[in-house]
Amino acid sequence: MEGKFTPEEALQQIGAVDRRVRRSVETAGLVYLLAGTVTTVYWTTILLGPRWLQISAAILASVLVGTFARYHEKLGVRDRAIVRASRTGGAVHLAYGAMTVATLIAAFFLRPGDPGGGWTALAVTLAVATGLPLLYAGGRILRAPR
Amino acid sequence: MSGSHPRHGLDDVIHAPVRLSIMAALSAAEKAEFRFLRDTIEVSDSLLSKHILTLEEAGYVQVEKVFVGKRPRTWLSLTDDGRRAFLDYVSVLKRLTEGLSE
Repeated sequence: MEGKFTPEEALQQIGAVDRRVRRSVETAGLVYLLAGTVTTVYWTTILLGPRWLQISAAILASVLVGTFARYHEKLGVRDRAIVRASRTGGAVHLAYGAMTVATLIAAFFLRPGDPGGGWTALAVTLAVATGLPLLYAGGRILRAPR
Repeated sequence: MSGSHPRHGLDDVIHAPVRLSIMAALSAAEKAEFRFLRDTIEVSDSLLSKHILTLEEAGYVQVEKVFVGKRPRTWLSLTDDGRRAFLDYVSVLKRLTEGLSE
């Protein structure tokens, strides 16, 4: 890979490297979207599902959270949108943390003995709102101009 | 040697395959880790280190070493001068290729 090259070859090489980097960044965006979707499904199951499904969801979610954390730690490329999404104390982190706490409070203290339509609506709203920050981050990463 | 032909505007620091790939990768992202660059560009650790040093000495690349737990990680990013030099380099390339196609 040493030696000089023509201007056309140089431009082709820039394009090829650029595409590889973009692909990695776009994969990160898709992983955020997946994490947001899994979060929504997880909380919907925890708040509304039967006991056996709640336990299965908790086990599966802990595996997925670990995988997501490892993926993020190993991700060797950061563009502006990824930096913004993953910043500790940033908007995405704060919104995700706040919604997780709100949903936990609802799960422990607000769940009625005989859940009706109102509880179902609240549970779905909370589940969607908890996944929303990650979905938003994924969308921002995928749509960021490059 | 300098002249009016666009090729004289090609930055010799960038105009080498490995260094060009490093600059292109860093230009497409905010920052990249050493191992990511190595795998993306498909070069050995030693060759990558050598060219990063050249770019760092030219003031084009900034090297940041951080620890994640006990693991060292090296993050690289373009400096403002590096980004400007890369954009200039690409515009010279485009002028050269447009000149050739006319």
